[in-house]
Amino acid sequence: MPDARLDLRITPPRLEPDHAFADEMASLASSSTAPSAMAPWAPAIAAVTVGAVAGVAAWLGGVVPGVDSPLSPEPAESPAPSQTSPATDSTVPSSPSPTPTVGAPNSEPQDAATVGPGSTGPTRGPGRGAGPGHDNGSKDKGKGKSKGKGKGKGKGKSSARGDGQGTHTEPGQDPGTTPTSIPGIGAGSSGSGKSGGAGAPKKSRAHHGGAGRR
Amino acid sequence: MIPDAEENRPDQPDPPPTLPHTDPTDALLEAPAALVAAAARGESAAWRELYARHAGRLLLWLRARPLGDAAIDADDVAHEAWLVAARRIAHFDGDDDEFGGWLFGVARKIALNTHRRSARRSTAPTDRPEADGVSPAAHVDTEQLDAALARLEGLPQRERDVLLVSEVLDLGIDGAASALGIRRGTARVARHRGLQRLRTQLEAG
Repeated sequence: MPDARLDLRITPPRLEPDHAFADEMASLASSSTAPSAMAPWAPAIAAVTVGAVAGVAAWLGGVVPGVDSPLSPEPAESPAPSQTSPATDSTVPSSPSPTPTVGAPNSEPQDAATVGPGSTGPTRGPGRGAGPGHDNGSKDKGKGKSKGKGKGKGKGKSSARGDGQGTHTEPGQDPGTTPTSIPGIGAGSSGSGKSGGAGAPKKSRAHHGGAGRR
Repeated sequence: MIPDAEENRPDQPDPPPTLPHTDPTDALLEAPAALVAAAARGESAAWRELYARHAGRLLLWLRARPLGDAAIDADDVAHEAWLVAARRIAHFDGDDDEFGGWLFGVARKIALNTHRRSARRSTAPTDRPEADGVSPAAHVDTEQLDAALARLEGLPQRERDVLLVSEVLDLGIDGAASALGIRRGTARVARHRGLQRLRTQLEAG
C-alpha cells in the first residue's frame, strides 16, 4: 500500500522554447542520419573485405591452382611426378597406411583436385600441384609419428631441398639419394595414397611442399 | 467551383480537420512514439512539445546536481543537451516516455565532459552574472525541489540520485536507469532501499 508521506513528486515547470531554438533543433534533427541507413552497406563491405583478404592470402600461399605463389623461390612445376612413383613403389611396396580412409587418391595420385578436397586443408592440397601424389606416399611411408612430425616442423626446407635435388638429378633414384627425402618420395611412389585423404594438414603441407618443388 | 463557393460563405462553420497534422501538437499526442518520430523527422512542433515536457525537470535536475565548477551553468548544459539530442535523435529508438531518461543521460554526459574540461582550468567567480531574462529557464522556482532534496538528504548518494530522478522528477525506474547510466535492476534496488529508509525515518520521527 503506497504511503502518501513518501510521495516525493513535484510539479516541474513547463517551459516553452523560443521559435528560433525549436527550429534549430528541428533542422538538426532533420539533418541527422539514422544509423540504420548505413546498415545495408556494412555486410557487403565486410564480405568484399573478407574475400579480398582470403584471395590475397591464397595467392601468397600458392593455393590457387595454376598460379604460383610469389613467395616461393622456385616455380612449382613438377617435371614428372609419375616417374618417381613407380620406382618408389618398387622400393617400398609394403607400406600400409595406418588409417586408410580415402581410397580414391590411390588410383590418381597426381590429380590435384582429388587430393585437395581429401586432405583436411582443402586449398593447400591442390595448390602444391603435382605434389599430392608424393605426399600421399610420404605419409604412408612415414607410418611412424616421428617421421611425420619431423617433416611437419621442418615444413619445407629440408624436405623441399631433398626432393628438389632428387628429382632434378635422377627422378628414378630419388629414394636412394637423400636419406631424408627417401621416405617422402618412397611413400609417394608406393602410391597407396591412403594418407592423402586422412592426412593431417601439417603433414600434408610439409609433404606437398617437398613434392611441389621438384 | 465548389471550393470557392464554400469559401465565400462567411457563416459556414469550419469543417472538422481531415488531415491528421492539421494541429501538430494534438496529432503528436496520440501514439506513444509519435512525438519522437515527428521530432526525428524535423518537425518543429514536436520539438516544442518535447521541450515543454522535459525542459523544466531537466533544468531542475541539473541544478540539483553538483557540476563541479561555479562557472558551469546548468542552463548552458541543458541547452547543449537539447542540441545534442536533436543531432542524435535518429539514434534514439525509444518512445516518448523513454525520451526523458535518454535526454537526461545526454545531459549527464555533457555535464561530466564539461566538468572534466573545467578541472584543468577551474574558476571561482565571486559574483554570479545577472540573468538577462532571455533564457526561459531563468526564473524556475526551485522551492519544491529544495524541499524534496531536504527529505532525501540523509540517504546514500546512489539512492538519492535514483529517487530524485524516478520519484521527484517522475521519470520512473527506466528513466532513472537511463539518466544515471546504471542498470535497471540497480536502479530498482536503489529506489526500493531509499524508500524503505525514508519510511523508517518517518516512523522513527
